[in-house]
Amino acid sequence: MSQNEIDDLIAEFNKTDKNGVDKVIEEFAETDEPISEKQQDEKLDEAKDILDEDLAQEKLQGVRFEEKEHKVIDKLDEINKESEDKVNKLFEKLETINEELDKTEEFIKSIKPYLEKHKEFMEFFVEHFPKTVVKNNYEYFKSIIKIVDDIENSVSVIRDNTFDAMDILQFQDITRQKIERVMSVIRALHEYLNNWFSSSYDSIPRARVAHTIIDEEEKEKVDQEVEDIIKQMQEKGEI
Amino acid sequence: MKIITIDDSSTMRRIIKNTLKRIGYGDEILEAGDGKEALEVLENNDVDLIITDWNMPVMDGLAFVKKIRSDSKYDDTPIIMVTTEAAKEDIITALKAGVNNYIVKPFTPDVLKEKIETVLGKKD
Repeated sequence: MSQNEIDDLIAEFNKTDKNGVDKVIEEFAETDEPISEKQQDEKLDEAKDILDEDLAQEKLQGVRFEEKEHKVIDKLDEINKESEDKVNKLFEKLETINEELDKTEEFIKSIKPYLEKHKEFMEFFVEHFPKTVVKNNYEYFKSIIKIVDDIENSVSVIRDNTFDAMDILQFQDITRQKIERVMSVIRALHEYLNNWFSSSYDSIPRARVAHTIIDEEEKEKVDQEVEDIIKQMQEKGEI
Repeated sequence: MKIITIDDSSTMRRIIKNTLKRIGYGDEILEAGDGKEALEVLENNDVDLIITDWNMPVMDGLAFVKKIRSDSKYDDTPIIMVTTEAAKEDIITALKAGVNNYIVKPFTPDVLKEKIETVLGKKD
């Protein structure tokens, strides 16, 4: 191969888009330290990834998806997992409330016999010393007993409600299964499209998909910008 | 009384476990995330009642029930299926496979209690 042929080959090579690969090569060049075999492998993998990415972009003809966002099934799986985790946390909270209710109930149970004894004692007093002061004290004590009874009833109502809330949490599993049904439809659709449409779509040369599609109201502004750019470049003699 | 609850949803296992305690069957409750895992648990444990979901990964509830019913060791072990599948043909399929009773999600504690009592022969 003559020098001219070599120069032509280099010139041809330089025309191709290899920015990503260049970057990796530059990084190789920047370091003076000897590179281990492992590091070399890593760099080669990195370069391969860049080339794969370029190929993927070429295949997608410019259509750009957000990383991960377009993987609908993965996303739905994530949503299911997240909702299950959150519902489990909610369940833990409800269990904690129930544990506290159990303690309150135990506490009420433990003091009730003393209250009853005291009530009997006071009834004896009221019977044998029917003075207003004693009677007033007895009435006051009876109202305390009523408050304790009310607390006991409230504990029971709260417990029933937490149990109902726990039962309602079954919705998570039902919703999860509904989402999984949607996922299976997406999966089937994916297979169907791959089998029946993909090949014919690929066989016809198509234009790249536009990255930027402007709104109608921006049209005039953008047209003016284009005119300005052309004018500036003409003035500079660039076109 | 020892019960195993099989469901791939940890939330559902929790709910069933909690409900069993509330209705008086909370002595010992084992858990498994699918049929295969349940078979492993049952290798080391004798249970008095099996409560299983239908739709699960690895080994679903129906395959699990068929497997269990093919082993004479479990001839007398009652199985309740708790699932979202509500079609008549599904219920028939499950019962034919060896399920003793069937609950469609969501369920109430009263329903679970009633079904347990039925399969344990405590209720006519």
